[in-house]
Amino acid sequence: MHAKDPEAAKLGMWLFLFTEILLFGGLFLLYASYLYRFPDEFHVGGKQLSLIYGTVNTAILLISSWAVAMSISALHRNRDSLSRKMLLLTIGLGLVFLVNKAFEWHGKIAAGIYPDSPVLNTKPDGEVLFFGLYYLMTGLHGIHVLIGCCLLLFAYWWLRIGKIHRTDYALLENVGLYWHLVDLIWVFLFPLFYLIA
Amino acid sequence: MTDKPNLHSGSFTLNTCVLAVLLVLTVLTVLLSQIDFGVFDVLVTIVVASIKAFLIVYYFMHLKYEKTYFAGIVLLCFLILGLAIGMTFFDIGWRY
Amino acid sequence: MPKHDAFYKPQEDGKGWIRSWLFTHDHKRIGVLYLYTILAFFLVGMTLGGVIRFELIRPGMNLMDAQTYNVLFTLHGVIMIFFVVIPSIPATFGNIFLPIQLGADDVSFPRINLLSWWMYIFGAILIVCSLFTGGGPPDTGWTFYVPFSEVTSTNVNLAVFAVFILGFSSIFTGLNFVTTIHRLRCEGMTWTRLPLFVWSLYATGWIQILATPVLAITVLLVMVERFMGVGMFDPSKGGDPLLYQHLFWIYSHPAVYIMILPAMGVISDIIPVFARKNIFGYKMVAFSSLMIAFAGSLVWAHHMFTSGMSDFAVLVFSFLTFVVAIPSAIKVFNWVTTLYKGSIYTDPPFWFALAFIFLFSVGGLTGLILGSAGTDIYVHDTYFVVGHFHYVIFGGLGFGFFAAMHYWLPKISGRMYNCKIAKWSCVILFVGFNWLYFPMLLLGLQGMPRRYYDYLPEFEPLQYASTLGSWVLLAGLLIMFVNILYGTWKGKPVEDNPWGGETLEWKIQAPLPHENFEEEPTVTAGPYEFSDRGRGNAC
Repeated sequence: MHAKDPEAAKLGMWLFLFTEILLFGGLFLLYASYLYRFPDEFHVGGKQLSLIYGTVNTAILLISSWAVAMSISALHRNRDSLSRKMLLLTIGLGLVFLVNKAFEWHGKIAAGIYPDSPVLNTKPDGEVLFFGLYYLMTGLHGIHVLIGCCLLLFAYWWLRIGKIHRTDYALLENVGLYWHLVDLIWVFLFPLFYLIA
Repeated sequence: MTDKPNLHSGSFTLNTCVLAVLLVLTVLTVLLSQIDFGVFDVLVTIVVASIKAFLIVYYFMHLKYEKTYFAGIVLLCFLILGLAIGMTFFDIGWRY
Repeated sequence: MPKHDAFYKPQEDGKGWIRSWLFTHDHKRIGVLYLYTILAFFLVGMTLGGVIRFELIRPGMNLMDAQTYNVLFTLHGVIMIFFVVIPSIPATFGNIFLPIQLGADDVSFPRINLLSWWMYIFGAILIVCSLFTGGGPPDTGWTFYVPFSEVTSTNVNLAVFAVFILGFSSIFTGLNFVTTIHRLRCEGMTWTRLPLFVWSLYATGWIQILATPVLAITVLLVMVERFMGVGMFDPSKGGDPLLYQHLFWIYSHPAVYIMILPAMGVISDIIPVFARKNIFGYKMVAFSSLMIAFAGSLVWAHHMFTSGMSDFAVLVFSFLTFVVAIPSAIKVFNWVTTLYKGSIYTDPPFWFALAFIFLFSVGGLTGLILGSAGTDIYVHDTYFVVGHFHYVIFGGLGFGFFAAMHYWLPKISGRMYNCKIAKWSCVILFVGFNWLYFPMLLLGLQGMPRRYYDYLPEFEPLQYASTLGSWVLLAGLLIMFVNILYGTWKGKPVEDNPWGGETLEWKIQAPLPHENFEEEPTVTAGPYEFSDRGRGNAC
């Protein structure tokens, strides 16, 4: 059997994160192109999104990112129980983010704005694309938040049963990396959709 | 190739300071978005977002504590993404 | 006699035979699983290609109607590109020999390696399902171009989802290899002592990691558009179909280098061994792999010169395309220079390697005609393109793969094929190949468009010749496969190092044992520093 190699585990995880970045990258490419083509319509579209929701959700994800980082720091400092609590806090914040997102989507859909909707199809091309991208990118991001929450739950379980401990924490580190990536993507999505207005 | 476990991670204070800066930057970018910089609007928001991204990658994702080649490959990834988006503008920049 | 049981012999760990193969974590067994599944798909793709060629023997309808023809060339493309060519060398010989060449027990993530094969199988099942469900098999061509792929009633959804799954299978292979090369080099295996095959897999791994996700999101978007009509590529909603082409080729052009780089690595390993001479310019050959990977990522839009893209972009991408020719030429020149004053052994792997160099050069040079925007306008979307990429992909990767088979299969199985038949099959393949594809270059120059079901009478002689060539090629392929598979199972036992190689895989027993190394090896010299210029006769 091989000796465990935490650096390999982390390197592998980083390489996987690159694929995630480039997966979103395709959508960022579309966003950049259509923003360049329809700056005014994107402006109008952005104004229709709730800045409050966006800002609060950004703060929530940033705090959750901090919580994961704290979880690892706590584990290194022999504060196992704090480490687990921080993970639970992260999962909780992730779920709050999703609930907020659901309310936000619900509001827009209730107003008849969703892909291929009769209301949206009467709007100018740029706005159709803006909201199309809005649903695609926040939707894909939301799926990642959900997956991240599941991974965090696993990490919590592994911490409890001692599969992750102070000197063998690569799994926790990797789950943390994934969660930070989710945050990282949002750090760019937030200004692109809510602040370009 | 067995290294002794690398127990580097940010102290509680450091993590919390980084979070504070991130939150301040978030407020800042919201405030900046209320000011009209004309064509530089997008640039300003992207710069602030990139600073935030750097803080997350460097401190929270522990790039600070990894060997230097990790930083190299992270830069490579963003370089390729930048080139893909940037070079698409050779087309649309002269077409739209 | 080998000291240890071969890796394919049952191991006494209580697992049943099927489980010990389908759920193995052993990189060698996973490589063999990949080898047989890829060969199976190659036979399917080859048959489809043969049928397409037969349909084109005369103008008008010969075998099938036009819709069937559209479906067949789509399937031929999808199967050959995504199921055969992209995994080909890395997933088979890369899997088997990368860890051994590094002096490692296995890849860094053996379970992800197995997952990669299972995702491949899952993708294969989806593709088969797409044939019999929904509106019938896809008829878009392997590129799934919008707007047609968004409106056709055929089962594009399942096919693009299969491509999505295969993409991740390929990513996992690349991710595994890059990590393995970084972390599992044995003592003394510095970066400048890596076999060039490893260097090529390293460059390939990076393309797989950084380019494949863009394809994943692109095909996902096609699916989303078909289900929801978001309008990203729909001009009636402000979308731009050309952006689909950009996204598609941001992956699919680098993917060409996923296909060819490992083959170049194989040739870089074979040439010095059979010339009994250190490779000329090791560092430049290694560096050119990275250079091809990087520069190759910046030339995608040369597939779009006639699509209505801006003229400025045509200029930039045409220029950059010529830049990629430089590292490719470095490789070819260095191989040929390595042969100069070598003491050459003409065993079958070497024959295939020479065929590779010639056919790849033809493919590369015709590529320059396509990369130059002015001439591309004339030959775009004609048989010239079809001929060009078959020279590069089949003549390049295909012959590289055959060379790898003749070079390494005796090592894997511990048994030798019939060398005389192997050389004859190489000659027949080479003749059949040029007979089939060279007329395509001429047809393209005369203006025969690709993907057409029917053609004008003036194209008949060359079309006819091309179909005749396909039969010669098929015969060559069958002879080669029968010979090499028979040799693998029933051939006469072979010594551990029949070709006199210096890389680590030749230092362990043939057939390969369960445990790669009894103790971790130490490397003290480069991969091609031969102590003697003569050796015994292998065949």
